[in-house]
Amino acid sequence: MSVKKSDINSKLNELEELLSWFEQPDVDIEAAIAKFEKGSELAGEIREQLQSIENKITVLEKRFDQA
Amino acid sequence: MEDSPLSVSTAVAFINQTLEYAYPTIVVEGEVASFKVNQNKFVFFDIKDASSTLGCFMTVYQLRIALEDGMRVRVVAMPKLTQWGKFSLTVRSVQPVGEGALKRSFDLLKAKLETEGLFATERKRPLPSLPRHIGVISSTQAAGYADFIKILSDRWGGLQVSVAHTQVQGADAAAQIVRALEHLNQLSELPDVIAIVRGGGSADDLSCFNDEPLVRAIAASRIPVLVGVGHEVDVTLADLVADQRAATPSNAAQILVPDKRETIARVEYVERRLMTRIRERGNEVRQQVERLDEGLRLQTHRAFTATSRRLEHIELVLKQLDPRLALRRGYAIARFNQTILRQSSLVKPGDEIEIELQDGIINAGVHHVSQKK
Repeated sequence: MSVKKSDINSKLNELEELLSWFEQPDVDIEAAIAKFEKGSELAGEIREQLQSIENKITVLEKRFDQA
Repeated sequence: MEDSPLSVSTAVAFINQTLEYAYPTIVVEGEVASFKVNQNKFVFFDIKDASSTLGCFMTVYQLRIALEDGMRVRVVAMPKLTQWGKFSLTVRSVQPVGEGALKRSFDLLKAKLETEGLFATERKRPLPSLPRHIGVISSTQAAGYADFIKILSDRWGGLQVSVAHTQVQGADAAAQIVRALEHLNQLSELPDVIAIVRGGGSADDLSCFNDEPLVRAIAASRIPVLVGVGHEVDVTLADLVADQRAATPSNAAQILVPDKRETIARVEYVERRLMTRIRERGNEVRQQVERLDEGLRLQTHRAFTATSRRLEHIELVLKQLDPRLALRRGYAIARFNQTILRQSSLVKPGDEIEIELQDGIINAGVHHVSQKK
């Protein structure tokens, strides 16, 4: 899977921004519905990515025992 | 041999060859005396015991610890006769011996680097909050390394981890770690952070993390460095110079990435909060509509009542104007040619007129017409 951690990071940020938007008073209901749908979608994606992605560990071939 | 004398230079070379053959390397332990550094490049000191003294020479670059007179050290050296006929040891490495000397060397170097500002808080850079690419310097065989990788993987996913495998104890460890730091700093895809990790060990095992060039290499790294070496109680100079210090390798992993369980919990909280907010907002809008609706109904009702009253009034007036009412009261309506007669002058004797009463119509002839006076 090619999903990068930075994607999760930006999704997390986007989700937190959505929450701040929702916390203001008198939000427009039409926009709220659209944003709520976006929020649910983001939350689902983040959860799925975090639960399924593994770390890619590479031991460098370069040797450090010689100058 | 007596008949063929050697030149002095050849004699020196000859003796050195013999020395090298007999003692390619000697390890000598003793006390440091007359320690000095010339031109910031060359290090001279004597190593002595109660009855003997040997001169020692090395370069500043080879000296990785702080030395002072009276310190007990072990030198790894090659014996050599100089071109000036002086015998000395060319030192490859020098290590403090015994707890007192180790501590003294540590304190001296610490004080020196502290004066240079290498441990200052202002120098420390924040680690990235969510790194994508982590450079790790450790021995892949070390227990501390396995702990670090395990905790990292338990906590977060999708990371790129580039591991530089080096020794993490012994004479060559510090130099290897320095090379690894330089290498990671030159990768085409730079890591966001470098973690130097190693599990616990004796003071001697961890002494490579008190190495001056290593401390300077950490300070010079373009990439922020996290050092997680030994146990919580072990503080090395590498810890002090690092942008952040972790108590253990596991702690290093905890510092680098958040726990995905906490992140998932947060995501779920945000999800619930969004749900609550949209419901609240929905209710607010509904109540607003109801209030508006109620207001509208009230206004309509008021307008309706006013109109009804006006209608009633009009009806009353209309009723009073009804000619039938006048007829009931005894008045009559006179018509001539289907037109209501309002002026007597419109008829003359002999005309036929129609007189409407309440209950019927009389057809009558006009006998006489006179004007009212």
